[in-house]
Amino acid sequence: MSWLALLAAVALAAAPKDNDDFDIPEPAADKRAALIWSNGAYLMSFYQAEKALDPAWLLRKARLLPPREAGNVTELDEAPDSTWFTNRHGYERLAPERVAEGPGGPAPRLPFVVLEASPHSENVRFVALDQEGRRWFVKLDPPGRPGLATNGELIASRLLHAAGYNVPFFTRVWLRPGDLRLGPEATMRTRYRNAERKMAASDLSTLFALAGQAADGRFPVSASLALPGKPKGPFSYLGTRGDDPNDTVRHEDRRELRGYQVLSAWLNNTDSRQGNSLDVYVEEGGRRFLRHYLLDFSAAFGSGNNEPKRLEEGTEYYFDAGVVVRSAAALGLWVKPWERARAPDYPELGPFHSDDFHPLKWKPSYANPAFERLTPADGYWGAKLVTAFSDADVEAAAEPGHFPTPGAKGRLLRVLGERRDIIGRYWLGGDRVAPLESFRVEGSTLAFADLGVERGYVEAKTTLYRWKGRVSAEPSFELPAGFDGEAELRVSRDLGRAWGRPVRVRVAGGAVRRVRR
Amino acid sequence: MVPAVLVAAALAAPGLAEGEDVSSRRRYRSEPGLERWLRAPGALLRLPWLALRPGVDFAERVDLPQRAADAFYFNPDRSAGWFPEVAPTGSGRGAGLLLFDDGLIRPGDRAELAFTIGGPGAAFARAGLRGTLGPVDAALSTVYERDDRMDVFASPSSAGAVLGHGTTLGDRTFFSLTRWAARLEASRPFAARAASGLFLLGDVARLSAPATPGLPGLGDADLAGGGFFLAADGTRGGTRPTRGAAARAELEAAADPSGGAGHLRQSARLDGYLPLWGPARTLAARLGWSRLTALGRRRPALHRYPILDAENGLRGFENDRFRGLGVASFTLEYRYPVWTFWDLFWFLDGGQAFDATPRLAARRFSFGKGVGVRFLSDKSLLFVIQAAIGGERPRLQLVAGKLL
Repeated sequence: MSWLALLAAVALAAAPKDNDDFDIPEPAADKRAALIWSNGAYLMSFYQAEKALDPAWLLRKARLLPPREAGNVTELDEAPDSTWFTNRHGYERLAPERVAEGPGGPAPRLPFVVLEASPHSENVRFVALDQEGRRWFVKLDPPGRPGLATNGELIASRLLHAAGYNVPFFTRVWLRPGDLRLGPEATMRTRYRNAERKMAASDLSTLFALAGQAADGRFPVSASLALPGKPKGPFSYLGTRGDDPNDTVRHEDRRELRGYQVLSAWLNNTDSRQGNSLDVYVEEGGRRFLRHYLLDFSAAFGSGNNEPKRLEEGTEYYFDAGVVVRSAAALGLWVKPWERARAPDYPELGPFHSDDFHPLKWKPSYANPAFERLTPADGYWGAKLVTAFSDADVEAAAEPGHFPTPGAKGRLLRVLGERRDIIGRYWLGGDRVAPLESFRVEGSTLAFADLGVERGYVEAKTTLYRWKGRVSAEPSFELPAGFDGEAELRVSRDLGRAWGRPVRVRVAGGAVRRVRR
Repeated sequence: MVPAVLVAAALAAPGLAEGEDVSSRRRYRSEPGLERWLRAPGALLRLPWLALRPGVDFAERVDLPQRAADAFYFNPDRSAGWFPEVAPTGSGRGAGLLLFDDGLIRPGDRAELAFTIGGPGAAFARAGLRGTLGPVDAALSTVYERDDRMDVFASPSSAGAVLGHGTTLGDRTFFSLTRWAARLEASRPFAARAASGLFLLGDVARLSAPATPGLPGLGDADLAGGGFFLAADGTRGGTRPTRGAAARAELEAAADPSGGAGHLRQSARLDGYLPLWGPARTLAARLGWSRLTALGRRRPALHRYPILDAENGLRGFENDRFRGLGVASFTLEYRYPVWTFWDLFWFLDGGQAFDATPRLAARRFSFGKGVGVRFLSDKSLLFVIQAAIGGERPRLQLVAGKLL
């Protein structure tokens, strides 16, 4: 094998790498993008109407045009390592202990010195310095529901980090009122957004009066360590950032942002919107560039931040004109699954279920253009990440959770496992995508793995593979001598009665060069 | 073999040459293509949005909704405040204010004062106080009303105790009314959600001559009287009543000691809610009945004649369209949710005004039908927008507060 072929083979086998970390001038902080109402209002109204006037969108909805695939996929149809995403658990499985670590960080040294507090926002929260001078963002649970919001922060952030996303480090801290000191310039948000006043010592007790308390009198809070670098505002899920020359792929066409739909659906992270993201100008390896983070997971699982989720969350946008019109036209005969009464939920979980969960019909509370452009290839990619998590991985990630109600933790783990398997069966077990991986040429054989079978979502004994009229029960095909071209493989899960969509594998020079679904 | 890490490093971002464009070196980029142009018609929709966005951003920046809501209250716990009152037609027509305080005398006792002004000849004011005195719930309400143009529909041929039937909108005429009234009410619960009570009333009214002769019940009416009532509320469902029933019946006697006015009034209302095939799919129904009879040789005063649409019961017609010595009405409303805070409803109303002898007949009923949306908050019904047709002019109404 020539050095060139060797280099190419190794490059394909290595974790793929994007080159979006060129040194760039410092972008301005986008303060306007931090205003979340207009973004939500636009995406749930005008943007939806714009799509209805887009012939390409309509043709795709009618399946008369092929899907528009993500713009940043590697030769093997993966998301490359980038300033947005780092292949971790889905590429090479992490030990449960590594999943539990998350991004890793120190424990805060108490007491906290409070700099800013917001008792009237979605959650009671404050910004504080610990005794090492580290800056922390601290969030408290609502009264009577200790664990509701903070469990999402701690557990979902660990799972998303293991999956590959950039998230802050969250840690569990048990606070007593004496663990807070008032900073000399501390301010507190009034009941109005963006209006502050000087904070008084008595306000510290107000924070605790509005928060959920554990049985031992302490307050289980989540503390997230400030990100290194300069915050430059959230990123949009639509278009690119004009002052970032590295940002050349429209965000709605990014594989990891489209695939985030699958992970958000799994975690019921309905608050996956622009306002819960952050671009940070960092300096690494002598270069300065933007790194892109996901933030704020306190609306994961059944949490609606300061109260349990409303039952429709996860199935409809906050305002969903399509649902309103269809509901009106159906004259009340359309009874949505979430409208049916359910057994009471655990206080620290809120409504988090798997029985009516559908991976593709799941919706965040705010319309997300990247999610709306999810193609089968993107969904499959996201499902690979989700199904890479074993029960032990999820249990390890749930370790910092607070579950005062007996059975609540088991319920969370069970529902996460069930939703993961529903995602697995949908994307890996059906005919939407051929879940074939690890393509390699071994001598004269094209061998591959079937993730649907490997991960237990379909049975090997009813599975067949087809290429050019040849059918095999084994995940391999003999290649014609000197084969150089594209192999179009299909999978059947019912002994050949129906065949799913193909995966196209380009073979050249005795190696796999390209995979497309 | 070349280590993978070296390959990855070789593929990572190197430094740029002086003046070199980053995007030219980027491995991945979205390519503009034909689709970008296909999106152009839709992109036109962005123009109105661009005009709206600064307003939305401003609203968020200053928290306009919160400030606007707070502007209606005088204190942070919202126990005292004001609301605008607007009534385009009917009794109390005009625009004005409602002031309330739930702790003026004691916490939880409500005091309110409201007024509307509908022009030089129309003014309306009411004041009330409601609270508990030991085991008794007590309420005092007073009203001042002056209106030079009280609608009444009558033609020479229809003059009599039934006003409205057999007339057209062109038969609209007016009478003028100046009135002071007060009502003192005391009630006591006799079950979890039922109460009975007594009331005393005084009602001093001056009804002047109309343009159309022959209208009954005009002149001075200085009424004094009282009565009792029974009320029960067994509805369930909070802001969206979905099951149960509520009823109220009232009997009143009032007479002018020195004049010819006087009446016995009996009224009853029954609201019912029947849950249907899904959550919040509800059939709501109301039956209403109100009747005046002469008290001895006295005759009922015109301003106390029951009005068919007094409680929005005949939405396809104008307010005050039909009145008589008695009215009977029904409403059927099918409601279902279309969004978290919106319910759509379709309704059919029917009613008849009658004279001294209640001869109810389908051919004498007037019917209205229509559709509307109920806008709710977490805690209450905020307002209703409804459109109705009843064979005359279609009506579009915005109504605040609970109707049914």
